[in-house]
Amino acid sequence: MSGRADEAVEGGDPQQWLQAHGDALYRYAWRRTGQADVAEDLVQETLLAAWQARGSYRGQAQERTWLTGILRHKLVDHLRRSGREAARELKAGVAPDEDFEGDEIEALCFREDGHWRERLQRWDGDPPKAYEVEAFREVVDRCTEGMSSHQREAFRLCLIGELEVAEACEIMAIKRNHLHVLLHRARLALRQCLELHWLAEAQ
Amino acid sequence: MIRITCRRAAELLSRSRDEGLEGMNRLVLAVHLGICSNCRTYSRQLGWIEEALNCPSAAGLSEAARLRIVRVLEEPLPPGPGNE
Repeated sequence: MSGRADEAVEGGDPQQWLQAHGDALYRYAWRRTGQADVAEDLVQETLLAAWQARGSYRGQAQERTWLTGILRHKLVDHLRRSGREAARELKAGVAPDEDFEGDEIEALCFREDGHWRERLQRWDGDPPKAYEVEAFREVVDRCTEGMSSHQREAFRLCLIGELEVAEACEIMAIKRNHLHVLLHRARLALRQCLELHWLAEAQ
Repeated sequence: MIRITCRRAAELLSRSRDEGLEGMNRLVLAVHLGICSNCRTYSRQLGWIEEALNCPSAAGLSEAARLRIVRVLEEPLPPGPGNE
């Protein structure tokens, strides 16, 4: 006896993986993309890749850990690809290092002497819970529309996709310091936008 | 020299969330936060934002996606690893 039946016993069974880990993998991917269709595709690609690579799974890692590792590779590939597409759309525009539009947010938040223009209000509301997080992400998406294109990309890679700084720098082809400035401005912009469009409406 | 502006402090707060700060920057930021309640508020808001973005959704894989994936997994495997 040989073939798929034996392999399934030795190397795992993708239908059983889907059953046992499908939701967890989907949540991992959704949290880092905010897009249900993309997250579903990533889970599918992950299970297929895992099935093809089942020989390399020797049971040292937990099954879930092994699958999540594969999913992370797929996620990085996805972010890299969609980053390239975004870059092509921007090609006629400005290079990241010339993208100065983003510093408007600093002028909005800080006076010339470097102090905050306004007293920041404490946020009383708790961060969104799991059941409201999809509505929250929709607001976040709308907030990113107000960012400069490179701020948005840095935000998408690091704060949504949870990539390492080095990975995002490589994908965006920018230096560390530049990425830090983009993320800093993206956070300022998001803070302001959420105050208006999430916290104000929640209260 | 140990004093920094709020603008600089906000930048360091952001940076510290992405990869931590080296000695001098960590020190000047800590000193600044000790005297500036606005920047402490900002720091808490950044924590709020991070927690909110890291919150997993309650929804799992939809039934339609699950069925689609089941069907894909039943198909014969394409040859070789990596089909891109």
